[in-house]
Amino acid sequence: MIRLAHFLRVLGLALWASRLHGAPKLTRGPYLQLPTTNSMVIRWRTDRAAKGMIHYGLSQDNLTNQTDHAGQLTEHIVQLTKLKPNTRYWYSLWTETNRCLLAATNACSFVTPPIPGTVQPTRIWVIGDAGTGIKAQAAARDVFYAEHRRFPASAWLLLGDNAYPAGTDAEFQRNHWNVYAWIARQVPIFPALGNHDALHADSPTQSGPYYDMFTLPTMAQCGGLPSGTEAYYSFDWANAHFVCLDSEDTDRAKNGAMAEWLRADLSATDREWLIAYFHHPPYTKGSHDSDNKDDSGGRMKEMRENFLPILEAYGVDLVLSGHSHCYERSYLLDGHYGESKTLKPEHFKSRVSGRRDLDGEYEKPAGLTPHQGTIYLVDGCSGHATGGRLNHPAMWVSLNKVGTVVLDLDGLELKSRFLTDHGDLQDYFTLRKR
Amino acid sequence: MKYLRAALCWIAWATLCVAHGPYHEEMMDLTAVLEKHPHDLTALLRRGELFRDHARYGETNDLAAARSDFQRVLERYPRNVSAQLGLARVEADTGAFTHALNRLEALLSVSEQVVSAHLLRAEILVQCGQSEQAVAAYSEGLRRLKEPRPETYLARARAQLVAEPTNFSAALSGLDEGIARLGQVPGLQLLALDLATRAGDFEGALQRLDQLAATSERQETWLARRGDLLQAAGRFQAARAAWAQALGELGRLPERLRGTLAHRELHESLTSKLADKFAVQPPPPQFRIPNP
Repeated sequence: MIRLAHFLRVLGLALWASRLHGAPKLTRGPYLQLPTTNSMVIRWRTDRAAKGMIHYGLSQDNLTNQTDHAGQLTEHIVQLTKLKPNTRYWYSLWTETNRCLLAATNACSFVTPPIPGTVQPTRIWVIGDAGTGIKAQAAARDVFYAEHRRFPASAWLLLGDNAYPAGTDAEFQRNHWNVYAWIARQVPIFPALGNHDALHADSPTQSGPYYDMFTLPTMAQCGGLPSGTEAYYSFDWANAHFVCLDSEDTDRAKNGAMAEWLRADLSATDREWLIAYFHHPPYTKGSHDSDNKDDSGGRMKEMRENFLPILEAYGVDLVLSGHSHCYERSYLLDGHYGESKTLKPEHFKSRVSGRRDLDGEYEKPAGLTPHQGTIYLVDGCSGHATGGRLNHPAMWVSLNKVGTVVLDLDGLELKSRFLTDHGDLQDYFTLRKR
Repeated sequence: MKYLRAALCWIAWATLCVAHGPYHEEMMDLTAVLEKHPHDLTALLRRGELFRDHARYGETNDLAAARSDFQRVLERYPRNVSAQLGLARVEADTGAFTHALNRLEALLSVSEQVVSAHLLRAEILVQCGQSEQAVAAYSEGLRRLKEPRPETYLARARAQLVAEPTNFSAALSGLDEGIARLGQVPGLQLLALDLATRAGDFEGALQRLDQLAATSERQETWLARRGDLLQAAGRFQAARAAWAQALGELGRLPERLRGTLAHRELHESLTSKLADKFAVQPPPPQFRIPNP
């Protein structure tokens, strides 16, 4: 008995020592952040502190460049620089002891953004309230993966509530990074903060798992004007300008710093498309009700009353939100900042479906023209769908389905598709500029 | 009796939830958790925060309920920082500023690294009219913040201006500290620019404008503002040249961008300024007054 105990002690010690001195293991990522025309940040995590190294190059078999970071870390952040715009790069992860953590053959590649303003087909993947960890989340993801293989996405927007129930690091690991590992190493992520993420994040101090794990453009590295905070920011991709707002944990006042920045940022852009996204939807009758001033601490009302007038005045084309666990897509709207009962015919710039094969696509004048109509889309169902009345009169369609949204921008055309976890195309529309 | 009381509480909660929709659903979930695990720290703290958040919509007793949840945490974990911060916030919400400040000072005396406590203390000091101390508290918080955000620098500058309304240089140096850390954030630099103008430092204001303009591809708004600054400095010819340049930039924009609100308003304003050829005196400057 004593021998057995001694043997177990020695075995335990040996295992501990091997863990201490063995090679580090990849536990998160790699994932892509802060893409610019000539740089990309690659982040990953290892189970033990180590020096991280990236080999990269223009083909999978020829990773001629190397770069690393200083010090022994578990959170590895490496910026690749001097890249060419609109170019695919392959990369692999290594440790200082020449051990390969992940080879380029494991879909480790990305395309740098084109020169801002370039007109070219661009696909954006949009998921909201995804981080449930249930089967439907993975099924919706797999449907998009098939789409991505046909034509790869350039950027990936997260509309908040990325890790349920409380946005802890472990929940992000389980319900986000483990679920989306394959796509995260290929497509840069631009997240928005959701209320569940905010349970363990603090915007005033920009601390907590959400802020720690993302490297976001605070200094206009990816286009737009500097926001000085990761809570809200903007970026350009091809001929589109994207604005991410913090509807959860930042002052939503009309004269607050976020609103001031938004006005300055929008007046400085010269892109063709303007797409804004934030967690709390201005119009919804799903699992949340935007008419209820108490719902979500009044955040939906405040975003509708204080931010839609700014966005519409600068010609926003599409506003994406989550929070309500359903899919809702509006008509082409303008100037409606009240409760649903105050919606009047003059608020509809068009009452068609947006589908050519039904009654016609949406049309707007080219450029960013104020008050020419905006589509409001709620995609809070990428991880679960939890119903609601689904009867907001601003919406052309409201669905209690799990799914994700694929946006395809090409010149003066924006196409949106809602694909369910079963692979069904449940909504689509085209917005065309002339 | 115990079960009857629990049932009544549950019915009361359910009624409240039906009445107030999804906002309370989370509270009900947390209440259910707390019935099973009365000392669940996370649930108590979260429910306390929800109660406090909801109090601003006029619900009676919400602040008392929030206070009760935070106190329950402190009874079991007297050093819990989140509960102490939560309780201080409730005290500030109810106007018990002295209690809140005492609580925060006690917390900071043992845990001075709690940045949120410094920032909360600064906000409460502003509400109490103790602007000088608020500036010091903001500075302490900013010094410790790894990733500060513009809002905190703006709040400190506003407190500084209340404490010393004519001491623009102190507010400016605080804003410059933010700009050095965060970059050319429009909110920070625009306030700094206006303060420099109020201080009569037109050259400094022009330099700031140039720095801000360098971050932007489009120059027309910055050129128009440059014209306004030059006019305020009494350099009328240079002002007109800047406005004319701004108008030229507007004209060079692609057709698709000429319908924006910014374009229309700017075009109107520039045309009107350039048409006013007899203007020989600077108009009263239109300064941005910092928010209280």
